[in-house]
Amino acid sequence: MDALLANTQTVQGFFPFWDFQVVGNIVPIINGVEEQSQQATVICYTQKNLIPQLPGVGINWAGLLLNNETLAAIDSQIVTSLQNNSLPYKAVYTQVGTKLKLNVVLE
Amino acid sequence: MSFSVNGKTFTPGTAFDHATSMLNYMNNLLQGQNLPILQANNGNSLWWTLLGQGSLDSSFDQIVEQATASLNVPMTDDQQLINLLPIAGTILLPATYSIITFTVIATSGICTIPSGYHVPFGQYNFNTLTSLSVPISGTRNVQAICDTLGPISVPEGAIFLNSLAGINNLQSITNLFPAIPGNPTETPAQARQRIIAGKNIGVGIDGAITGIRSLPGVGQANVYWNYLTSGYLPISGLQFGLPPRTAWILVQNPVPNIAITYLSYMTLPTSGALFQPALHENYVTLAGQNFPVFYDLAGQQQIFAKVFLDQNKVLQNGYEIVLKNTVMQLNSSFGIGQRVSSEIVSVQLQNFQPATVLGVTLSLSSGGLYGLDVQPSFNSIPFFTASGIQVILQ
Repeated sequence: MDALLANTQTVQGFFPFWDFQVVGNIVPIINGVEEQSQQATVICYTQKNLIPQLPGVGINWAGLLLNNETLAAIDSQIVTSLQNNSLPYKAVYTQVGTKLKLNVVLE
Repeated sequence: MSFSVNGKTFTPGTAFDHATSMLNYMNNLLQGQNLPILQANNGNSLWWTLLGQGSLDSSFDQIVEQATASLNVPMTDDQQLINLLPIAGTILLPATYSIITFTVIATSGICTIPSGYHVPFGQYNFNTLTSLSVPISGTRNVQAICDTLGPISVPEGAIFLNSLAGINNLQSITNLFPAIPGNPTETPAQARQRIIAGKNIGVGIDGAITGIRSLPGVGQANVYWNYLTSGYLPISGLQFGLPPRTAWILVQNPVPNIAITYLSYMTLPTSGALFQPALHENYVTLAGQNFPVFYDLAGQQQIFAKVFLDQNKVLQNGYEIVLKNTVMQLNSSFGIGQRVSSEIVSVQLQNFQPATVLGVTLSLSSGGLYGLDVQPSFNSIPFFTASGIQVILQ
């Protein structure tokens, strides 16, 4: 049982920004496929070292920007994170112009 | 751990070590007079006093150890390492700018782009380094430097514009090659490795290379020298080779102070070579003598790769994008004239999970022979493009 998050916004085109969706002053609760899909998305976009007391959780996106991590390593972290949470989702990459786009889709 | 200073070995002791040592000394004196010895146990108040004194000694030991380690490059902390860098004649290498080559095509009129013109790319601008005049329906190249320090990634063709503010007769401006990314500011950890590796020689050609590379704005630099007293020294990329007793300076970005930096290490004449029109700076000595120093800009050379994957172990769709982008991340690490081996590419792909990589071969031309390594020209920085990387399932 998760709260529904608002649509993803990106900050300066790089980092996702999360907030709770509010419908009629109430944060809706979601279950099932919708919840799993949201979990998979959040897992893929969560920056490593940003969750207090869980420094190992997340993907080292900052490392990719600083060229300390290869895209292959990032992809590997995403696959592992999804597997660790038993989520039947996978990352699909597309090149849109100069930008790499990541979608999280059902396997 | 222990260390030696002037032949004396010093081992930092714990409070217990020091207390035991003092107790043993006292017991030796007591035994010499046939008196009962003291025991190290909790009921002995003297033992507690010795432990207190031992603790004081131990904290002094730690200060001595840290003071010694502060002059030890592998062990000292980051701030002390930065303090020590000037002694080694260096600093944290500053960040450098990314540089790009634009190809400009004119319409039915002459297209003129002034030096310093801002070509936009997202939140950045690339400023042209020289003025450019493209003849009617002609094509010319011009280099431009990013206005922001650090590695700015621009894949080939990412900039394609049909108009620029204030520029007439422009058909198109594009980058046929990816930008050569600049470097971020050197971290203390990188500086530590550089000092340990001894890549900080402060004299001669190596000193000149290090000195020019350290100039803010220069990403890569090399200096080649013809040591022969007569005859040209053949160098790949130089049409006639290098004249005798002459040095050849290649830089990634032209910045001021190349001449004075070079002359502070070397007094040899320099050659403006043939790859691109030579740039030069004059250095005037205290006596008023004029020393022209010539140098060239490094070019770029595309490397073509074939990556072989096990067709039975492809686990993920879209693997090509991950693979190609991972390989292209290597572009920011290549130096001028650096040999590229398939091992470098394989190591870069070591975390690649979507499929099993069987091997990598490389070539300098797409239709040429592919082998295990390639040597670009001495004046070129190698780079990969997405279209130059073939993924082959076997």
